[in-house]
Amino acid sequence: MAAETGTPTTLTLKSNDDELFSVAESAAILSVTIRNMVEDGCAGGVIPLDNVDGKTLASVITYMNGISAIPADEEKKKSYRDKFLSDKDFETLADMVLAANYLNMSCLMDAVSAKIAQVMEKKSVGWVRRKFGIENDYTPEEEAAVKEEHKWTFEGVETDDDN
Amino acid sequence: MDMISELPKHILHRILYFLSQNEAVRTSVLSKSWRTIWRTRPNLDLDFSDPTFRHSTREFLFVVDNTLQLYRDRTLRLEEFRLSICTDHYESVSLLQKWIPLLTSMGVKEFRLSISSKTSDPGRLDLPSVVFEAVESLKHLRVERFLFDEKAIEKITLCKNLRSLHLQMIARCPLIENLCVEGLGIGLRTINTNDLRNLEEFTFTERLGLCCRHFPVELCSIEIYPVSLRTININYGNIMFRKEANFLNLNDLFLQGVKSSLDNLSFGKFPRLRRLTLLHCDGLKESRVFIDAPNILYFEYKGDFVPTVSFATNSFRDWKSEIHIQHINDGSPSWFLKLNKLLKSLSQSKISLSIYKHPNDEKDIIQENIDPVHDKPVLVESLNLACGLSSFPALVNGVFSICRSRNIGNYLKAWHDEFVESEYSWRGWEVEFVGYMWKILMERESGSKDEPSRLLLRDLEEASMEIMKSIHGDEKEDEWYRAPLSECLLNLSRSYCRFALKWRDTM
Repeated sequence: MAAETGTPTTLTLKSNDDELFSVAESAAILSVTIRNMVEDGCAGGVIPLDNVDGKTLASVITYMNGISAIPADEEKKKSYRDKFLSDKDFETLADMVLAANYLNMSCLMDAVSAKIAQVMEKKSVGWVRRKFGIENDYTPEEEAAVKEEHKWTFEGVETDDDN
Repeated sequence: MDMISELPKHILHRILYFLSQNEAVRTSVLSKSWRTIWRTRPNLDLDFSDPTFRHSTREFLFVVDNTLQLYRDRTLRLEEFRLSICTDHYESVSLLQKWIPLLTSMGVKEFRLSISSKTSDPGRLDLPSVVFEAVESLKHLRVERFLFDEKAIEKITLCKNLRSLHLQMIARCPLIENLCVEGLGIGLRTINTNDLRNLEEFTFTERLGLCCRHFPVELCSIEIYPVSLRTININYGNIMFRKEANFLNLNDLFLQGVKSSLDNLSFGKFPRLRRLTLLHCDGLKESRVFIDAPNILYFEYKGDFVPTVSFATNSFRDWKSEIHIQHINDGSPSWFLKLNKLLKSLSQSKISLSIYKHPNDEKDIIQENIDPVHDKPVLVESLNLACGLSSFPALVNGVFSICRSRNIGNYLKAWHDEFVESEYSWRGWEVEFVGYMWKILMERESGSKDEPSRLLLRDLEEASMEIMKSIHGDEKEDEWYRAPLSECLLNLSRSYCRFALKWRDTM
């Protein structure tokens, strides 16, 4: 098949910790950042991605390959994304959303953002703080005041044991 | 600082975008850096019935106004705006007049508006006309307790991006005479016109069209009040009316793509019905429909199965029926017999019958043994057959075992859409048709005596070729003149030709 259609173009991507990755151009151009580089003719050698580390880049490339192999079927793409993100911890998700942002990949950015939102949903403030390691810098009085301001938004939310 | 709080603000906005308004607001308690992030996310969902505003519409209006001002002053991106508002406060309409242009100037892509009036006498107030100014962004509109009259309906048709429309109190404009609902992907589940006692013309058109047939789209259920209606025109919706309904004034009933059962047609009365058109109505599949329409002048059916339809009519009247059937071999051994029954029940009318077999349909036509004494052939005014050459003998055989036609052609007027769609596969059918018919009709003296030609030729006295002079609309008859084969063949690409058939007096 390669003889008929020509060998698919492969790009080499370099992470900020100097790992090299080969990826088919057709999958890589899901990233608008990479696509622009390809269109500007800067993709001849190695494409340096200064804001993405090797571990995250490997993950992103898995996603690129996986999603571009699925034909135009939004349902199937969605279930692939759900499955792809299902076993990622928050740290990985945060790295990925930053990478998606840097690479300008709106579909991955939306999927990861929705995933993080889903984790927060219907959870108590304390749980979210612990889960994401958010430090509470309110004084108890300040916190009470903010809560009071929006107290209706706490209806139907699980309660905290610790505050 | 922790990792999530360090994310750039626009990423945090994206995350908050996927939360409900309440969930987004609650993030303000997480820490100081989270306190105001939710206020600037790219979507807003403001609802007057939220518990915060339970006691004060004024406060709600103030919050909406402030929030929108904030987005505008700081040129924040606002993609989606969902507003649920009640106009009981005197300022609410003037504020809406201020907000809606603001939304347009801020480039809001999706605007969902739910608007209600709290007046004690619902249906007296006009819907504020500013609502219709959000033509580009208004995607979902829900109207409660407002007068929604013909004028409003006309204006709403300008909101070209509207995906769903929910109307309550439509019945509060009982004087409405003409109601037309038309759109692509109309989100309406039900329309109830039962209280519109003056409604004369009702049109419903879901422009998704054939997609509704081939995919499980839920059709809108339309309940009608039968007595006042003169014209009903429903395209891809379901029609509901009670048994024994008296369609006292109904002149024209046009149903296309109706999936619900049409059994109730049999129990209705249609004293003034002139035209009945049933196209692609799957609701006819399981039904035996008997229509009490003494004044019927025109009946048209189009579909891919043979329906069971008959009429009680005034037999002294001249009326026409046009039957367009796509032949699909569904394994039933009595396709032609069923067609014979249909033709018999329409035999008081001038029948024009066309049958086509799709070029991609490779299933054979089942040969049926039809007893010519018991199931007598029915006289048909005009007959058009279109199919590939390989199916021709079986189709001709089947058709002439149940009817005798005054002519036979392969003019596919009613299947024009399908014809254009797959023009390539149809190409050459005219030539094949003329060639085949010429062979069996004109060379019958010397020609073969295979099964179809034997049946066809048995009672045939004379056959001649005709060419169409001009194509007229529905109302006028097409004009044909006699022409020799050479002229017919020369004109094949420009005009239609057919064979006029004269039968021995055995009918």
